[in-house]
Amino acid sequence: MSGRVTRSGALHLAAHLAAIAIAAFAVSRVLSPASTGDVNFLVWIVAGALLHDLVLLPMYSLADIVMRLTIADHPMRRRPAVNYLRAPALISLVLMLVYAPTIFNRNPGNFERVSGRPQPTHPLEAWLWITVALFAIAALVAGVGALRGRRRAVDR
Amino acid sequence: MLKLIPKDPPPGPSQRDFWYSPLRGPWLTSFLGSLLLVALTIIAATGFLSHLAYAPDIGQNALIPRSGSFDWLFVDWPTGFPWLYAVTQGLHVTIGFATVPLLLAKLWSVIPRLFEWPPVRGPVHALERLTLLMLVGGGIFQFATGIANVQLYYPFHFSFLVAHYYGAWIFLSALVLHVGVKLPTIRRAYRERGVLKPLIDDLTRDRDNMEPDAGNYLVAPVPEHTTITRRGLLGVVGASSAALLVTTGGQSVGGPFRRLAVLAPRGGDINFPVNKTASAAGVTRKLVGSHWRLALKGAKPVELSREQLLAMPQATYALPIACVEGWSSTQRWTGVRLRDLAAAAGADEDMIAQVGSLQPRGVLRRATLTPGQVGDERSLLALKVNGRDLPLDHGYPARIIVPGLPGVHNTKWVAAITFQRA
Repeated sequence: MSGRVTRSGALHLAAHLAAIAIAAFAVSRVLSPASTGDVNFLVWIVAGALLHDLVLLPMYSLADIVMRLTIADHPMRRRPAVNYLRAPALISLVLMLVYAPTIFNRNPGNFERVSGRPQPTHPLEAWLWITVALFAIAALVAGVGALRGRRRAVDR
Repeated sequence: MLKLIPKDPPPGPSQRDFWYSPLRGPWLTSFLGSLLLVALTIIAATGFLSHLAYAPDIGQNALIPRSGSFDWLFVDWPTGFPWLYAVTQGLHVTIGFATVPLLLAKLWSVIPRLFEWPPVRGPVHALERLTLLMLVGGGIFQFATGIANVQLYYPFHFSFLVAHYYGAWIFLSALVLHVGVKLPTIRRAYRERGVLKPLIDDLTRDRDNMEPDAGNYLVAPVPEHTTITRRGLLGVVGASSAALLVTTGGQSVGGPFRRLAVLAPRGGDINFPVNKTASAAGVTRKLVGSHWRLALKGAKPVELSREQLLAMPQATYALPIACVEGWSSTQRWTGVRLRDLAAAAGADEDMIAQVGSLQPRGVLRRATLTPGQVGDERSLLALKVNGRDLPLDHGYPARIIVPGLPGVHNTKWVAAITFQRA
């Protein structure tokens, strides 16, 4: 039994060392003078993980807590009202996160120079309209749900 | 040194009861991870196919310095399927964008593990945590650099191509390891909870539907009231992915969907996008005037004017231009077959063709075509598009168009084609 544990332990260690060796090779290729030779690359990999885990995630978690405290939901309610804000807000923020360079018009000159046209039809406006539409749909669904709930209560 | 770490976690996220979501647990992470794995497999495979499509093994095509030892992996990119690169790269970019919500949800589901106490239990555990940094940092890096590149946004100083290619090595080696290590956990979660049952159980919203606390950091010891169900969480993730799919995919699919791609750089109202304008490339009207000649270099060097080229047998094909940035657009191109030009220069059928542009600067002002690409009957030196002379921004006086070839290798403003042995 103990022999097996040792063997699986050795395999476990070997697999980790192999993955680290591949990563070390990849890093050496990026940092080689033939490539760009920029340590910046490593900083970006580590910074990405730190920014997500210690900034982005705590920020949206905090926003969620604030939202839940603001909207006093009855804990036993079948469809907590907070979700009618949560869903459109999350979808809108994900679009913003992914398309931030376009929405905030980073490098517009460069864009026009290479593509021969201005930035796609006012990305900020497009994003705002999408956001408005998402919240409107959520409000509609919430309204229909509330009406139905009231009707059910009256029927009873 | 490990003895210096206090036994009890400090107040804060390392305390298990700091975490309170009733959703977290091995099943949820396994389920999100399984979906993510499917998406990542498509993204990684199409990414490496794109590397292959650039034929980095011939001429000066290699934009990432070659390491030599992997040359045996290269096979010629086929010309038989003109839509091939449009599909593989469209999938790479569109699925890549749509996977972001899934990645965020997966990371959210495991965040308590980041703060597990003690942070390091020994040398092997330290290695494990290093590979997790490769996994999370590498994954975020791949998505962030790819998404920035598609939007022509370069806040970094390193070469995108080199970093994105080797970033994939770091991420994927950690991913393969992670899947291998977690396979028993995933199988146990599915065996004990069922693959889809926790989603169905959600409807009853019973506290009993929570995953059992196995003493690790995933399951909250003191959960709060459920405000969103597992179904709800997956629904929001799916809706976010759908929103990204709709606002991005149209630039690749084209047709009526292009108008829906309101946020994508090459979507919206333009049907025939330009990758790089003549003015950005430094190509002026003067360079392409009546004195322009195409130089064919081979056994019999020839120089041809645009009139002479137009007097040669012309062929017309509808072929897509598909960009590495994920957009594509199919147009009707008319011009001289490359194999007729090769014959005119006295080239053999097994020769590669080095195509050079008038463009004075930039690594992509030249591209090398394989013998198979030169020999395909649909491979053209296009002089016209949709029945009219090429616009300057699309490569007037002449450009290459080869079925299935990545967009930038369809060289614009062609000045010379050299036929030679590989």
